Amino acid sequence: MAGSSPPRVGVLALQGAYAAHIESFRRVKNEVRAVEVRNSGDLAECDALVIPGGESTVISKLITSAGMKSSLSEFVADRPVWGTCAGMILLSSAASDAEEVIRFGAIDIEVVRNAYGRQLDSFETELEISPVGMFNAVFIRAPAVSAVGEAVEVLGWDMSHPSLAASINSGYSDTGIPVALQSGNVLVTSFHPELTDNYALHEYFLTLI
Amino acid sequence: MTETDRTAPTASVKRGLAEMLKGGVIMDVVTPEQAKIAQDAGAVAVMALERVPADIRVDGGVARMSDPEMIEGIQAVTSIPVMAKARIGHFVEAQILQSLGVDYIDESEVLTPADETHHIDKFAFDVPFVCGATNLGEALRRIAEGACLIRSKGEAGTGNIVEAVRHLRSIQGDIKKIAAANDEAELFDWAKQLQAPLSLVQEIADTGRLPVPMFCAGGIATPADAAMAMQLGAESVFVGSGIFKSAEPAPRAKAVVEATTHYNNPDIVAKVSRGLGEPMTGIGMDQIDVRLAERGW
Repeated sequence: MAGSSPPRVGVLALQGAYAAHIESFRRVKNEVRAVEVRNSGDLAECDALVIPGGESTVISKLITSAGMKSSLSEFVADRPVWGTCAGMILLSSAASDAEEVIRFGAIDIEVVRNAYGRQLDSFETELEISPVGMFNAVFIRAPAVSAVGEAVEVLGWDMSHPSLAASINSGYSDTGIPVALQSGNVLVTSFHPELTDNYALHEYFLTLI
Repeated sequence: MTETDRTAPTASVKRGLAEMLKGGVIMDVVTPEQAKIAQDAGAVAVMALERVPADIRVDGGVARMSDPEMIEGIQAVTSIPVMAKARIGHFVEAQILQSLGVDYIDESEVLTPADETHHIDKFAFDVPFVCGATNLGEALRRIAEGACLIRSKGEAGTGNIVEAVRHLRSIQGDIKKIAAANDEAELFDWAKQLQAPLSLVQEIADTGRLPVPMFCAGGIATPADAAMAMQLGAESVFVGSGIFKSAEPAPRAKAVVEATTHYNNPDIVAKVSRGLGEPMTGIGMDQIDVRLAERGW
């Protein structure tokens, strides 16, 4: 963080739940400036970045058409970054759907898009997230982590979908699915803290800056 | 995931999907091929229907829910959410759409109404609903019935943005007035005038916004139309006939997507508006016999 001025957190505002994230950062107890990022110039002024939920295919296309692919790739390689849902997909390791979705590889995990199913399979559940405690997690057409690299710490598990966990096999658990993970200053969640009035994960992300 | 694993969705879950669709474009499609074109162009969701509103207007007759086979065909080729329309009040069409696993149900005035008094009880469904509105009272009545997303009705199938602009301005204008109300007594009067539940009027007074997201629909034909809707406070846009009734659907669809994201940047909207070919032929409001926006109660 530069000097004593509050950190500037950018929220990628090409498509999706960016307004909800900015609203959440307005309510945290820390001092922070949350701003919309729509081009590389906006990004260059930020200390940290959130890539929100939305449609990963759409956000990927808009990143390319806005000419932001290389600046984002550089940013997420060493700056604090948090991806929720679609944002988690974009930060994950390369997969076979490269034509449709950008994967920056900022965190060593494999992610399956729409793994939980359609909107009828969206759900809300109470989870333990290790740095912040119990959290009411809202999952919307959520992706699922299917493999986790050695340097990645799992902060929270969804234990309510054992059959899905068994079928995607996340490597070291066939009963739970990792839903919050961290590697250095990269945080990902497959659920949506910005849709609840619990701001603990927003506050936790600010500690990574 | 099997049916038996499911529990009834919470309000956050039902309303959450609309948050994910924000800043995006939902496109009407009538075939799997069109759905693929829409997805490749950057649509955030597709609306599966049998005929686009412009054709419904020309063909006349009774417009109904689409053939389930056609909806399944579209679900099979898309990874983005699939929405579908049910007739106003036709709860059995809505039951069928939920059984097909569509991601959103549009209880739509574009189809021929099935009930002239009652809208569907949308709380009875696990799939979220979007409903059209021409003014704030109508929007709040739909929310009171369980709608998770409101869109302006505009005048579908005309390629003419004028009615959608009227509806957006009316809804936003009344929200601002309610937020500026001086006391509870004024809110009682607002609830009476709007024929809407007092609790929702009080919620608007507290938050200064509609309790659910508001998107724009009805008559969007160009990137500029989409950007104007966004600048007027819409959080996403529906494009019906405007894409696939134009000369070159794919580039137009992509341009509307970019204009919706960069709605506040005239340089980008200008850039993407170039060389798109003919937009759909529009119709003036004095040239139409049927006002779809008048359907709904």
